[in-house]
Amino acid sequence: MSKVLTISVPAESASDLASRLGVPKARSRRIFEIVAKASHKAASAHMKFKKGTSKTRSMKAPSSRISHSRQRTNGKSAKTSR
Amino acid sequence: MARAPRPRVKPDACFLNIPYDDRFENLYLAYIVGLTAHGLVPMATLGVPRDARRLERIFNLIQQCRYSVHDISRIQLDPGPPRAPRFNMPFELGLAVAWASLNPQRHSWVGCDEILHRPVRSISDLAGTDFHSHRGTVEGVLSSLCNAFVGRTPRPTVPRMKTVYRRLRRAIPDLKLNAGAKSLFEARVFNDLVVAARALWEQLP
Repeated sequence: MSKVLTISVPAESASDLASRLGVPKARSRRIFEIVAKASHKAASAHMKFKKGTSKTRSMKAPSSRISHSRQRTNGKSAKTSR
Repeated sequence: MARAPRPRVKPDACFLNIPYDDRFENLYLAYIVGLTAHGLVPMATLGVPRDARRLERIFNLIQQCRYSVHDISRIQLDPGPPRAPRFNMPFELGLAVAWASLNPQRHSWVGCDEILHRPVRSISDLAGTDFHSHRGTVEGVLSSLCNAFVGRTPRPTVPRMKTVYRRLRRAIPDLKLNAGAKSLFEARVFNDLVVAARALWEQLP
């Protein structure tokens, strides 16, 4: 016992499940609204994070390169460093 | 005397035997997400009234479920006076084990604990049984359920279940407000969480 369990049945849809559990229609509608809001928030937070990451990369890369070269050449261009 | 008719088994119903305390909230949500992702409908004793017929009703609920999942990771002493160990989970596990051994075609049970091999030490009568170890983490619960229900379809992945878990967490304040509940361990909130988890799963691309 407590091993691999094998019998399968197709999963019920959320609205069918709600009616099976005796959740009234108005309440299940409200649950679906809450769920949609949570998904939307999660998706927009994910997009913001992705945008933020790419922006940071594009902003940072050139400036860090400049500062790095300046550091190596002591503030002068590479050709005249000698 | 005529025998009481056996309750009809719901092939997708899963009796969820877990501790009802706030420190277990994350894992409670993980169990709901994991089971609904596997196409199962979690059932709990949260809606069973605390009266003289409670035990009978709990046993009836177990008999209706094709599966049961038992988490015995919190059987330590209850801090409230008088201090006593929490025996509800092992007791309900015992009911399910007895029912499954008499009716192996009608019921299968899954045991989970935080620490590997601990259940066999605390309940040595179950030696030789595989208990799943979730290490007290959400990922651990989700992967334990994947292992327990490996032969079932659908076969959800842990990252997708974690996405649903995160979104369900995000929805909790509104779900609580909607139900007028202070805790997630209430019958109505439990049903709402099950429906919300299934709806979130359906929304995944």
